[in-house]
Amino acid sequence: MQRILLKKPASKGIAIGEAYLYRPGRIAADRGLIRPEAVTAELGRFMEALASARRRIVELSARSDIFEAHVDIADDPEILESVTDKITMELKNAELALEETADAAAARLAAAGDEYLSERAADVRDVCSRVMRKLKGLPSSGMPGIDRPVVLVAGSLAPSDTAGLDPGLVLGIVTAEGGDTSHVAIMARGLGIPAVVGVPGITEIVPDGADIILDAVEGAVIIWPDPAASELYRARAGEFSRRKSELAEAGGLPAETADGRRVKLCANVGSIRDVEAALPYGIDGVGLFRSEFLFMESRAFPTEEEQFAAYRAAAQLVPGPLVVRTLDAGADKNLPYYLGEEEDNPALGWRAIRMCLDMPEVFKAQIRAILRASAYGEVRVLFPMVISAEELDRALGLLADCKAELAARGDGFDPGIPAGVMIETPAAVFCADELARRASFFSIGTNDLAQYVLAVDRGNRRVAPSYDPLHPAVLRAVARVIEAGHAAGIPVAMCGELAANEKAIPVLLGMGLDEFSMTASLVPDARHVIRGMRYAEAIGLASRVLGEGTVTGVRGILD
Amino acid sequence: MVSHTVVIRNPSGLHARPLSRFMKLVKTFRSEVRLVTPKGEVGCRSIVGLLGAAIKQGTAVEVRVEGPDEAEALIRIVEFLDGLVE
Repeated sequence: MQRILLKKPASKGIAIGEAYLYRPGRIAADRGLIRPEAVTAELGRFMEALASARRRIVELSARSDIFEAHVDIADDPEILESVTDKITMELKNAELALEETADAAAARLAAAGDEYLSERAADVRDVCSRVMRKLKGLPSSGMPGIDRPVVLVAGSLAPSDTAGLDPGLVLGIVTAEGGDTSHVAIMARGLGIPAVVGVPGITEIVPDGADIILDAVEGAVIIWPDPAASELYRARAGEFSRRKSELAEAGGLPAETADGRRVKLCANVGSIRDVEAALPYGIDGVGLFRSEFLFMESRAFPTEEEQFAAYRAAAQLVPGPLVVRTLDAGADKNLPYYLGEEEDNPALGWRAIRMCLDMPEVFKAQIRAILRASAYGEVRVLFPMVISAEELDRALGLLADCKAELAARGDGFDPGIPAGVMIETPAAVFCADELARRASFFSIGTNDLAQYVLAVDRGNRRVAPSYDPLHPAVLRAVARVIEAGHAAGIPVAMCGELAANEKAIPVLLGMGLDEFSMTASLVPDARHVIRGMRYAEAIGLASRVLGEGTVTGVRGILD
Repeated sequence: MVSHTVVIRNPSGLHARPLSRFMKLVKTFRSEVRLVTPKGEVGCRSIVGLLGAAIKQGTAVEVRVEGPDEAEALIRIVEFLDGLVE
């Protein structure tokens, strides 16, 4: 038995199983020259491989930001020009031209001797090897099909390797290269696979096929464990997964306080994949479907049909209500195919509902798609960044127009589809009573609301410490909105980060918030907090907190 | 040709994410845009070229624009680089 101490794990857990050593070989180019009359065909072959690789990267970029930079690389005109020159002038075949180009580009980035750029050099290689595989008709990843549960030991794992992994068969991951923020670490955490990354020489230490234990809690690997060690770790692994599933298993239980106040716990999602991942947490619905991701991953405004397909699929999966927020682009979320003017002050600029009301045809295509999906589930529509009753009236007017158009076309929809307003501007807080008369529900977006109420950009390092959603001004704004909503008889939800803040949940509960929507993985903890509270206590707590006029006072009660 | 020098203030310099936005901005103009950096001159259509210039916080970058909409392009690009703080 050999025990090796590694380092802090990138993704916690314990994996026991057979080591699977992955050493990706470089794909050798069929180094070759072509005849001059074959140049056009060779160029065509390359362009086709590039286009096909690019399509796959765009698909993957919907799942992970990692691939967004890969799209830029696939679109890089210098790479294209270099390959084209090598084919047309030097009569090299596509494989050789690509290999030389990739080597030169990666060398250029690696030469800067900077860790960040070395990672980007790896990105260039990954994109090029994807194109190379297409050229050679190979499967899209070098990762051979793993057909049994294994602990994966590798030098490095590129995004194209990990994208093809079956998480059900990968018990754990150890790599020689990569840091805590490397692609593989992020993916492992996302999939809940125990992982330790950045252990130099690990592929030389662990023999292929050996029985190993990866202790990604302490950060150690045990090769050929003796029976005592195996037993110990089996117990530890059991305990680890028991603790993890205890929280998830509570998913069957309602989010109800000990004295019977029932609220809804919902998920915030950006894609169908997020919806699928959210279901095991026992959510009551989707409180926020961010439709902008659908727009950002497209090459042009997605059509009504494309959007309908996405919303319908989500509506059919979600057990309860599905709240689709209409396009919230602008500010920091730009659409690659539709650039507004560069603004001095994008947070206060042309974005969200303002942009949509200026482009009624784009807006109506989205509203029609949402309406059509409402024939397949409990769908609701949510308008972001509203500052006035007039804006809401215009949006509701377009909604009515869309219903009439669909009725005329004979398409099915829910004629009583609830239409809500996102409360994220001070204007909406102060006019909440007016908005509540027109809307079917409110959803408080605390990230933007806190930024606008406090006039603090939390992305700005210097002022970020002043960004505190537990500031009395923010809490009072929230209380006021809940009150206005309830006075008009409509439910009030929250879909900002505050809704998942364990200190804030009891206060929000006491204020009367009806629905908490958050990243799905945070739902079990929120459920635990709510089930451990008494509503009567929460009400008392909320009134004490609202009576505090200072951040220190609020923190004094909650910390 | 018009040009102007800006000092990059963004703490993480010009890395992949701001570069993506920068390239999209450059593509909205018809003029040819080049950056003169301490590592040499680069065009603005290639992510690999721009990354390779390794433009860090505090680097002075001369923006050179030439073409039919060069005046407007220069103003907007300088504004973007000058205001870039993530």
